[in-house]
Amino acid sequence: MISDITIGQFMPGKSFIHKMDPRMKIIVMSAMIVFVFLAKNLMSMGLMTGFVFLSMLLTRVSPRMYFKGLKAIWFLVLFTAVLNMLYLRGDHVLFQWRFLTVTEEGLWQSGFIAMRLVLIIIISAMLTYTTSPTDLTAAIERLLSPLKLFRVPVHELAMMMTIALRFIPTLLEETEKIMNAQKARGADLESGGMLKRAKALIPILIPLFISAFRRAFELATAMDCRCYTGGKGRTRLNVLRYKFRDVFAFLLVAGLCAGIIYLNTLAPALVR
Amino acid sequence: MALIETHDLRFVYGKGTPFEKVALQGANLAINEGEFIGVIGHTGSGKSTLVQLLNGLLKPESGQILLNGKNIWEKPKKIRDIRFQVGLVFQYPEYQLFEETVYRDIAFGPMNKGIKGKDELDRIVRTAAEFAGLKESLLEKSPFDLSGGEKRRAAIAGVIAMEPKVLILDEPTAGLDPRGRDKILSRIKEYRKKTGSTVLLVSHSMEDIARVADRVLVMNHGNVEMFDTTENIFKQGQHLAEIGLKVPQVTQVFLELKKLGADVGTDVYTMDYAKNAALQYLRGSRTEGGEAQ
Repeated sequence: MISDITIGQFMPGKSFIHKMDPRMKIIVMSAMIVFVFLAKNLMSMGLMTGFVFLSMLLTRVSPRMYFKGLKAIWFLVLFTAVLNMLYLRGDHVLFQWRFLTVTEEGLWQSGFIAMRLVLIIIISAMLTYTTSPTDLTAAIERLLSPLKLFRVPVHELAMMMTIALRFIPTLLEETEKIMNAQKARGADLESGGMLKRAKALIPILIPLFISAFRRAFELATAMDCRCYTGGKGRTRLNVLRYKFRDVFAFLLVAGLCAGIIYLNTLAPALVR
Repeated sequence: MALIETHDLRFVYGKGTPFEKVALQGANLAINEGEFIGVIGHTGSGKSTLVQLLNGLLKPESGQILLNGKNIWEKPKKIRDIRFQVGLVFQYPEYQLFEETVYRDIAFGPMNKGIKGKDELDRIVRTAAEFAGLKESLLEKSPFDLSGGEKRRAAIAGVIAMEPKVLILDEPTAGLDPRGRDKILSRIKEYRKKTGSTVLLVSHSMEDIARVADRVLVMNHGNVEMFDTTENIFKQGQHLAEIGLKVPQVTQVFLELKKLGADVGTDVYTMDYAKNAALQYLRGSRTEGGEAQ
């Protein structure tokens, strides 16, 4: 069902990570995604994996939710891994059949790449699971605000993003309602060939578009009524402030970076 | 044998997520053919879940729904057939209109059902439009050009056109003006009288329910709280108030009269009853008064 989509969904909570400043969360988690690519041997990869899994547990969001998010892309992970395994030709051949050659180096490479993908997905899921869309866009607006110097309409972009994110669940709910209403009239959405299925979408898409436009007009009117004129001179109800926990998280991730670099020097790299 | 029976019907939303919510916890009920059932209950009591289970849009967590004695989920592939037999009009059904003309929108259901003959389709569409009180001239218009009340009735016609055995309406009068409400209610009454089909009406308006229902199903926290004749339900003003519901306004008036010491019944729930009861009381007290003189 549509409501099973979990990626990008916010799971309210009170954990350390939930309470972090969203700006710091974005900085720290982007840094972690970069570090995933720094880890080049088993020790550093182990440290990285351990760190990600510990943070995952720290969010207090059920691991099942992360697993659901992974389920959506397991095929991509598998595909990339297999491709890498066959593509990379090293010196230690383990297995050969016609044009397919699997080498020790290739095996390591594919393992590392699969692990990297999994970690990246967990990290990004961690960000969206623990940060409400409003916080997320507020943080992006603040982080991008230097671009204002180059006349980039940062506030407008952030507002558009907020609205888009805000309406994803609404429109999903609406889609489900319309689907149910048409199913109640005997619409058959599950069988038939491509053309028949595409045609079966018409009774859902037309009402959906109409309601999306109606909502857009209503929202525009409501914003006008509250004298919205853009970002100039607007202040925030909740001003973002870095707290001790944000500094702590920053130092922790900096330590992780140092740890990975140090561990990388202890053993030869297994991956390019 | 009852037309619809449910046994320990249970349903949970969002199973396995932090948003898990039990919407129905073991509902048992039996509805006979040709009955007009009113369904009441405050928001989140499980009314909408119940009606969606009855026509197979939701699959029960556990328990059974029997239609004519047969479990509707016996052959999951055939669930569409159930939806033609149990027609469900959703809340704000006007948002499901999509065709170029009202006529074609009403024909959507019957065409899905497999009705191919042009004459038969025409007959079905026109009958359904008439039941819903839509003028002939509206049929060739775009559904998006109709007024709010007309759109609503066009959408109801779209479900009636499937000629279901059971018609379920989820808050069909929500957000309409008094005239629009009256029109829809009287059309539904008329439809039921002429076709003899079973009707379930979900509503927040006790007045609406009192006007049309033979029996009333009261839902509370995912349970069937009461299921009895309209008279017996609205007698229990206290009990209804406890679960956040009200009795119709006339019934409230009579409850207050009773408190003031007037010897009137408290099972009055429509204007007609109220008129008779009031007259009876006035006549009674006058003769008593006459005797005293």
